[in-house]
Amino acid sequence: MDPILEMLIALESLDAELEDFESEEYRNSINITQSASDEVFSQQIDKLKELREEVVRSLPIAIYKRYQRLREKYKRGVAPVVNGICANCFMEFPSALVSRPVKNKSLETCPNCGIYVYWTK
Amino acid sequence: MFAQLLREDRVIIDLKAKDKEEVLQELLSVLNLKPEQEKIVLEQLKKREAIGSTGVGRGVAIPHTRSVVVDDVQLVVGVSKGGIDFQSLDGKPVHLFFLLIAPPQDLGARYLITLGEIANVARKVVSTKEYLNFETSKELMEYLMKIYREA
Ligand SMILES: [Zn+2]
Repeated sequence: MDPILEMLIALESLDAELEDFESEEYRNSINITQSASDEVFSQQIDKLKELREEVVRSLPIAIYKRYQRLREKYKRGVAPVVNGICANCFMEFPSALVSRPVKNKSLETCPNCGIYVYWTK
Repeated sequence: MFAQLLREDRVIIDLKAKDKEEVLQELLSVLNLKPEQEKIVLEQLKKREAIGSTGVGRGVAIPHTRSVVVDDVQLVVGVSKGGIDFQSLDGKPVHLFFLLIAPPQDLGARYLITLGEIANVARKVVSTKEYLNFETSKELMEYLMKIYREA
């Protein structure tokens, strides 16, 4: 897999997890014995942010900026292509691209919405 | 959600794993992801554990993460009869695992709903540890389903 795509996928996961931590529903679910305090959660959020910074530092700046712009616009920077369809804008990819045996070896974007894509199949 | 996601082939009644990484791997393996996808999800789960163990105490862990590489919410249940050191909040070994993975964006917040349902089931099963006594995945699945349905 393209190393930058791999980093973008990691970044997308970390951003989603940061959003989860903001939800009370999430905090209650992972705190079934009520033993984790707000302080514990804020420490975990800090660690998550550190991990995110690490990934950001290793990304080319132009790609990170583009990812951020995509997130502002679509609330995500990477989308899967499922059965040849972009999960962000639902555009069907040209069949020549879909039928390629090797995918995810280079960084690609959706020709319609511009999102970074990960081919699931 | 919990009821829809719980499947017999995703319930492991006798985990072989001995440590944290092995158990994450064993739970993941039943999802039949491509090796490349499995590697990404495993890395992400390990990162999540590094920021704070998902061993929520009283013998239960709920390892979870979000990743673009899965196209829907996935649940795997596993029981370790011997228990696994999962660096839980209360320091106790973990016997019951609920692995939950979802795409970063899922319609209707199904991931968070399922996580809440898992927490409710977990709260109810910790006192008896009855989940350790089942011989087949089907029996354990039916037991968890019964607990889930009890108001
Ligand atoms: Zn698109």
